[in-house]
Amino acid sequence: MASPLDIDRRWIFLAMGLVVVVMYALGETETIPVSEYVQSYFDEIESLPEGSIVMLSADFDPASAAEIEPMYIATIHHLLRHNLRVINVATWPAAPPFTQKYFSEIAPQYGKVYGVDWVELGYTPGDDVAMGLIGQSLKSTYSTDDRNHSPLRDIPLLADVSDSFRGISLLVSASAGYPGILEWIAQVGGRYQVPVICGTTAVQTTALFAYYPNQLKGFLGAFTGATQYLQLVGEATEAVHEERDEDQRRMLVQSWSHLLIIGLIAFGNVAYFLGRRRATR
Amino acid sequence: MKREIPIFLTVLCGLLITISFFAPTSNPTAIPPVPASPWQAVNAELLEWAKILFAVAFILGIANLFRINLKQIATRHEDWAYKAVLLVSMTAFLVIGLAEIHVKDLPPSVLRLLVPARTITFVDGSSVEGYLVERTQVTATYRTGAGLEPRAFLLTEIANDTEPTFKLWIYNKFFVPLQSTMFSLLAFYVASAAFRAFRARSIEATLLLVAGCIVMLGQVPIGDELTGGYASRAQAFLMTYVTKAGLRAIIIGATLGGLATGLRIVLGIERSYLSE
Amino acid sequence: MDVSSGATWVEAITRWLNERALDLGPWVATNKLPTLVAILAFGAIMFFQQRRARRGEKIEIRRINGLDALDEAIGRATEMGRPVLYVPGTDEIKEIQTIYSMMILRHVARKAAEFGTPIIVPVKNSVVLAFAEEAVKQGCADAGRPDAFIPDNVRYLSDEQFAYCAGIAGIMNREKPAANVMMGMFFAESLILAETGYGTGAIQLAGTARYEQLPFFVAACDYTIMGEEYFAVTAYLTREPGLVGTIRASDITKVLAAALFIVGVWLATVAAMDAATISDSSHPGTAAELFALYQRLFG
Repeated sequence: MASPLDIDRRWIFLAMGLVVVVMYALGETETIPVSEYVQSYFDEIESLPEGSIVMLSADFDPASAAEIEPMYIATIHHLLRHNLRVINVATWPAAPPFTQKYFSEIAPQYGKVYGVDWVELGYTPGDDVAMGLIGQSLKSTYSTDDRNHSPLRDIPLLADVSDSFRGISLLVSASAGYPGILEWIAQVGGRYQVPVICGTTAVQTTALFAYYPNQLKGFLGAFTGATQYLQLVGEATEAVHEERDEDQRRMLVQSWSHLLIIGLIAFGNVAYFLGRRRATR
Repeated sequence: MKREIPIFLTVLCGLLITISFFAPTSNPTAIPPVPASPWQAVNAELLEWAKILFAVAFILGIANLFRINLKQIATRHEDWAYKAVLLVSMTAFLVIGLAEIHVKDLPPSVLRLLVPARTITFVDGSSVEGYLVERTQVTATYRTGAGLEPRAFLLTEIANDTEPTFKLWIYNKFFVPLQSTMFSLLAFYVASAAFRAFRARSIEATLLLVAGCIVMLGQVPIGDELTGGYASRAQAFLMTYVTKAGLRAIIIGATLGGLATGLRIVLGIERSYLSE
Repeated sequence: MDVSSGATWVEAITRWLNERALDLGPWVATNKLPTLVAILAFGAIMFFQQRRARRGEKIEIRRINGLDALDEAIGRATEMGRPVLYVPGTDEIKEIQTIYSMMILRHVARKAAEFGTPIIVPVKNSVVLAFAEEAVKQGCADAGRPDAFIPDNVRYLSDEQFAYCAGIAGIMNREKPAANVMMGMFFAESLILAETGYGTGAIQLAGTARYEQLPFFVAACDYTIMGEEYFAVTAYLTREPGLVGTIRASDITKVLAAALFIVGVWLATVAAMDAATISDSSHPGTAAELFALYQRLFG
């Protein structure tokens, strides 16, 4: 008789697919408690004086957008609502179409002017080498901005930024892997003593605990972190309520898919021990 | 000489980058102001060279792709049709991408063929098709008209400027769903790998299994509902103390290993990655 | 150093350090001085250990099961008449793990050539492609079988992470390699590759120092080389005394680092206990001063 452990793994795939679809269709929302790491991320932005310059780096692509997009959108809202000025860069080539879309939608809601309140510099190749160059001299790394192809000297916001990351008060990375937050910490955070925070995918989150709270001031770990952050931002920003509710709905999907995996592990172990007992007899 | 020159270059560049890492960076706001060390200029120059080399190396990859796939198409390999799709789509995207970068210089007939024009709508309601060349805080320069001559407009005259959508269309309709599909496979693979791998075969394996389940439960709201709030507290304890400590140990070990290897390569002791 | 006027020696050292704002000109930023000293010390230990090893002192390296299984995996592929797949990770050649992967690839290619088994190497980066071609060619030459090098088996697939991953999954499913060796820097694709490989029934070996991907490889592969083990691979395979010496140097440095951590933790604990018991806040106590000095030197 075939052991239950030899189950065709496509049954597991099917079960996972069903859980995701059914739970998403149920669509319930639920508020979740905010962790220390998420609160620190939020507080780090809140503590900046209005008018400070923040660099927001899009280190992700469409593959990870499902996880990163909600926290990225919430961060743009938070930064602009708090009247911070934003320099948007990207170290992943597929990120700029996303970031341009978000800024085009969100910035007008706060009456922000391109070039004065925010600027999009776009993608620069070279991974962590490019990060090193951005840290050393932003204006040598980029010759024009990404939206209008204007020379950087014509962009008022950048008049307050000089080499060695001077003038930039905070670095925020929306990081899905390499290059991402760990490279920003090494290339810029450590070198120029700039506070760094990030939002990241679930896979990367575990690695970040080792860097908190010194090299990394706060972080949003995957969906759970994004949902908690959206709750915090949502207290003062109605514009993110839809995104927050959507994320809270997705938490229900995540809850049940985690339960399914735990159930599978339990089932696998029971079958394993029963099989062993049978073999010993 | 085939080995000596690369080793010499490795040692030289490695030492220069190391020296510039330790050199002071400029700080005009410090009292007294700290000027940038000349080594920073060396660093910037080397990084610039690295960027150029990476870009040039793409040609190697493209040549390899063409060589292997053309051969398979020519010999009617069973997957030859896919290889043809790969080469055609790669070439098409490359040509369109290059054309978009050189909007300023391309002859009108070629530009019209390869790049969809923008629609510029003016405040008086009229509209014109053209290609954006440059935009400043006051004006925007487009190539418009039959001969696509550059013409500057005041930004106050322009009501709307619709971007061409072809590249974005490919991006949104092909690239985004394909990438998302690959990434979402992880959810399924995590389930099947966990089912196979998490067995309480030994004390260590049992600890791993229990810790894994606690973290999974603590990560989601239902975990706390089922355990009366204990799951998230246990998860926080595991992540903050146990995982953090273990990870730091692994990071320190791996970093020292990496550092030793880096030193061996930079000092020319490790050479086995070079051919003889 | 002024230890007069009732100052403790710790205070005197701190004052002495404060008075001498080290000006090392354009060479070393003062805040990077501790890092420089640590690297120089590490370099010195490495140099010394290498000399000892070259003089003939025997240094043992514990068994790394994953590497011992390499021959078994290639042998199995040979028996089944199927190729070996070697994935060198998804990073560029500037990454130390990728350079290391090229060294391991040379060894795997040598073994495969000895067994007469083809080796397929899909790469994600054009520069890595050139290195991988050289490594395989060299491995075949090392085995005395330069004719075993098949240029079309070292393939550039795509610089795009998931296109590369899909390409490898395609190779696994179509060409059915009997052994999948994955060595280098991996990201989200690690589990997709390992699970696809499991699905095709291949024996799987993985090695990476990218710690967040380790659990996936451990779960889905037969053997995993993890963390710093990965950097011991060439020393383990070649037993070259110079390389083995550097492994011991890393171990000695780790012991020193651990000793420093223990001192730091002890000082921080005593300082915190003192702060709770000493009522006079104007005088922080010797442990607190020592801890401040420790942070100044190593922080």
